[in-house]
Amino acid sequence: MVEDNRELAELIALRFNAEGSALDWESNGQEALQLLRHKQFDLVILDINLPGASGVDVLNDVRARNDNIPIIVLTARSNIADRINILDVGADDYLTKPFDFGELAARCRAVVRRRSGQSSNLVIFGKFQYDRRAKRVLIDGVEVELQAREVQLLEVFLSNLGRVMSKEDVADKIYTFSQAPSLNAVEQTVTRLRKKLEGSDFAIRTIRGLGYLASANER
Amino acid sequence: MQFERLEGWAIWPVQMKDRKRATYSLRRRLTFAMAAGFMLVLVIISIGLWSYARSAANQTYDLLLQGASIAIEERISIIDNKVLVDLPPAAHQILALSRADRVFYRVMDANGKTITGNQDLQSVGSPTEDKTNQFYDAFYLGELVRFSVRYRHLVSATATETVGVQIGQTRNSRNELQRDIFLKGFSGLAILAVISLVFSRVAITIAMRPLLGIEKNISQRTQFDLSPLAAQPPREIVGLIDSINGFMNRLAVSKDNAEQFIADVAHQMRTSLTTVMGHMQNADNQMDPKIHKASNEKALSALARTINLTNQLLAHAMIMHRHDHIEFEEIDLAQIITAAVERTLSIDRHENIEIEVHIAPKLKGCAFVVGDAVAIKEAIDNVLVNAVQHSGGQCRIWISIEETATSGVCIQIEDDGPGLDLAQQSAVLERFFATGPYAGSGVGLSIVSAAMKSHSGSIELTGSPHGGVCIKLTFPKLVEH
Repeated sequence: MVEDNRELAELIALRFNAEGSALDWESNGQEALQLLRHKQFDLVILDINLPGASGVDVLNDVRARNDNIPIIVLTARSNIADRINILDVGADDYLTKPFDFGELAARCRAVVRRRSGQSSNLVIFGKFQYDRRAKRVLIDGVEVELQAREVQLLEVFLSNLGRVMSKEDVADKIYTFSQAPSLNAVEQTVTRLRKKLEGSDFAIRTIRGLGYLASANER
Repeated sequence: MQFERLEGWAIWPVQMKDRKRATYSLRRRLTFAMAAGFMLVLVIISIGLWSYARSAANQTYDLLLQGASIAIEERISIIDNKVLVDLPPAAHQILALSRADRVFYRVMDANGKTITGNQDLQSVGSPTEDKTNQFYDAFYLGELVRFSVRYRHLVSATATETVGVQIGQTRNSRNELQRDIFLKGFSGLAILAVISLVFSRVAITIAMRPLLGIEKNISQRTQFDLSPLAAQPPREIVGLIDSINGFMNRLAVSKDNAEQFIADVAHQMRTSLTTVMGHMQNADNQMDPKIHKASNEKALSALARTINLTNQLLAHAMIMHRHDHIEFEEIDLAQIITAAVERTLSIDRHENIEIEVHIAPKLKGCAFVVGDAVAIKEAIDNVLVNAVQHSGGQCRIWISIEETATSGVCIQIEDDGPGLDLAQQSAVLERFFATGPYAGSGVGLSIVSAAMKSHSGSIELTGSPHGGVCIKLTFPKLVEH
């Protein structure tokens, strides 16, 4: 963790240690930048306002070296433009101060899981589990039979979590040019998929007038 | 960063923009303009004066030439068909009056043939003139010489003869006189010009004095003194004084608002923090673990409210002052609404919120207005948060985007929550007015109101047929594509 406020850093360290994670603390941006060049970490929690070098500098340096280490940014700036900037320079996620410590821990877990999920092709949200390579869905450990079209749809929603997708967007993504995309067919497929995923921690919601929004319960 | 902005704004609501200072002096400009004018006039008058002085000098000395030639002419006679010239001493004496000059003369016949005198003089002028002096300048012996030629028809018993008298005189005395006349005239003029310049400079200074008085008045003020300027302005700058006073008045109002805002914020924050502190101390003093836990939970929820209040106050301050330095751009309202829906649903883990959106077909993909995306996003977010909050997190929300009759855009957001007493309509837009069982910080809708105001839009609250509140946000102008 790179954070210049000692009290906040100690509180976060306390929380992580209680959960069984080891946490190193660095308060100076420049030193953190050097440290990250020479040592391997699983995850970085990075403040933006730092002495020495700003959090954005550290981010830039890490990503310029093609280092893929997961980074969660803590910021006191609630301005959208600032947040977009933080994501653009390569943060995996951000939290706005003041934040809930439970949420920070959850976000850290999610980021680490997302990273390992990419390498193992395994997506897990609570009771929901999806194996990208085998294209298999498990809910509470029980396999759910999915048709090819439903798998396609599921993958589209998984890569657009929390984002509103219009029916047209969805149709564009699961039909090729030669197939006539039918909005009715999309509706039916979504209804079928939703029914099959009922009771899991992954849900597809309908927003009338806008389209669909897939959400996953991370806890 | 926002704190800095808030502080700066709190003391001086208007940011002093770095303006390139004009460094010219009005007095110097006027002085230069007048000096140039005087110079021009002086040059024109000098040219006139020079030629006047020349003709005056010529006239004076030509009289000598004329007198001498008349005297010579008197003594020319024809005897036995021969012209006899007997040079009179008077002619010598007349010509000797101009001491600095040399004199040349000859007497000639009608064909210009010299009868007596300097043979090499050339003559100009016509012999038809009788008893009239013709004057001209010509070079003789490498020097400019003033010549006079006078003809006379002599009649004797046997013949008629035309005889000319040519006298030349160097120009030394003439030039002397011309210079003298010119210098006397010119020096008078120059003195006059200098005096006029000095007077005009004094006049400019006197005329500028009210302006300097204003400058002094303003610069000597303390930064808290925003009373109107007391100066009695001349008619020409009444407008300036009036607009300065108007500006100061706006500044004073804005400063009062800022002070009021800070006082309100201080009060709200301190109250909230005191509540938190109270709960914590209460928990600390409790031996009973159950009550201890309950107090702790109350402290946490009070803290959460304080955090929410702080965030909203900062958002409010940001929106009120963003338009000072943010350039408006074209933004798609449908996109902003979609993002706001995503944010609202992202905190709704149990699918208790249902949202329906209707975008008028004509506006699909082109519901553009010119504005500040951050401010509008804050406004829409706050309306949605408000709807969710007042229904206890369980509600249906209807959003529509329509074009108004006056080609503006109207966003209508309705919910099926507990609704609002219509009598409180205007009050809910005020800061820190919160009502209902799930009352929040009371800042949310005032953020919406401030954002709409900075876009010259309007906000309207009514009851919704679905049971809850209907909030209409109207933007004055739709951007046509």
